[in-house]
Amino acid sequence: MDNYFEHIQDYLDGTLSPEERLRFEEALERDVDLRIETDHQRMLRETVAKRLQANEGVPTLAETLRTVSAAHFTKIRKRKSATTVRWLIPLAAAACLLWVFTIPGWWTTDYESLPDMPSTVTRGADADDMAREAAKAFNAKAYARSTQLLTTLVDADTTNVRNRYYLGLSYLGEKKYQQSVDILQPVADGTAVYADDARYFVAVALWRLGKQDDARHYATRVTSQSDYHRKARKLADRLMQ
Amino acid sequence: MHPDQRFINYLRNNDSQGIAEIYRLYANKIVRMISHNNGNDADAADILQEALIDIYRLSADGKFVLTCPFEAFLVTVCKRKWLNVLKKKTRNPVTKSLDEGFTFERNDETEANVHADQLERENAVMQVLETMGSTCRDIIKACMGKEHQEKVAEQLGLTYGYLRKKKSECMAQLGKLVNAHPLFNREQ
Repeated sequence: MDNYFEHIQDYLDGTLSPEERLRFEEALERDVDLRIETDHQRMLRETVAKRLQANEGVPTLAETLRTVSAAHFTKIRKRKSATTVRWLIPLAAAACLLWVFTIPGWWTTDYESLPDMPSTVTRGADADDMAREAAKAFNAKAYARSTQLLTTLVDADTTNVRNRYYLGLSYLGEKKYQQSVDILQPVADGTAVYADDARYFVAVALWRLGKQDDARHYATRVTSQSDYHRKARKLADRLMQ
Repeated sequence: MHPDQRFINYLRNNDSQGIAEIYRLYANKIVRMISHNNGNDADAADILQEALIDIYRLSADGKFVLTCPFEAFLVTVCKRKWLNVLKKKTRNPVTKSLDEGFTFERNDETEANVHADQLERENAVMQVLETMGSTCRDIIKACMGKEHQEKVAEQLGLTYGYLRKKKSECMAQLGKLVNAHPLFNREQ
């Protein structure tokens, strides 16, 4: 059938004339493939329409769930702590206070937490040493130093996606969000193994730059294959509010 | 329809008291399942929240009919989500059976799996859509709204004819990509 898909869409949109509709339905009776494809397209349209409509209610529901969840788990924690040996209570309270005041991100998701950079060999003896030094600086959170070393490595070999990925993360560690986006975006839009994780960090950097829509776009593209999928989902939900 | 459909309605109506009842009845079971399998309370809270949002998305249009106890469905969704997390964390994910502590009728378990399969397939469709190019993605999303197509064309700065042609191309592409997804491929 010519314009196969256009006919299916017009049929599902209800924009065919009565004669065209009749012809299409006769074709549906005869042609199993057309019937399967039409059903498949109907399912896709219903799913997408339903999910888009549902997305509008997600921020409100997420807020309720957060509140109910916090109340529930606080109650559980309290109940557990009531059974603790008495002399431990002041000690535990002090420890909790210490945690709360010294680690502000404890109660919330730390979106900017960076992974360790594996210290693996790259190409050439000099590059190996520099890559090792860059990984050492990166893992020690000495991001100014790791940025400097990784920039040199990237300039020397622009095809090395791994170095570009960690350079983008290093910028993120320095809170240089625009530079991080500039480096990570091509990785995130590409097909390298780092693409999925890069999308998450691009989303975080864009979010920090106040580009909520772009950030959400990248956050929702992080697939379930990525270790950052759950965090990306959380970020996307947060950005929808 | 199962009497537990009310839990689905609590989510659809954002009924905080009803949602608190869901937590009161089921949260501790999810915590136990996850904390016995390399997780902790915080992981359980996250998984439970994600599962409830997914169930809401599945049922948002009011057509979803629960045919098993809500607990069976919720546990199945949480179990699958936690297995996915564990798969990424370690090579040998499950230390104890995730089913430990849960006894459902075989029929209820089957129904819960059917619902969970539907949920995963819908999630897969949306994931595939998000991986498409921005033109197709925007056109599909705009066309699936309630606006009339001519109005959509105007909003996107396109002619109605071009939108119609492009939409069918994009939907065809989405159809192919979804068919290639393992969750759909398996059925064929």
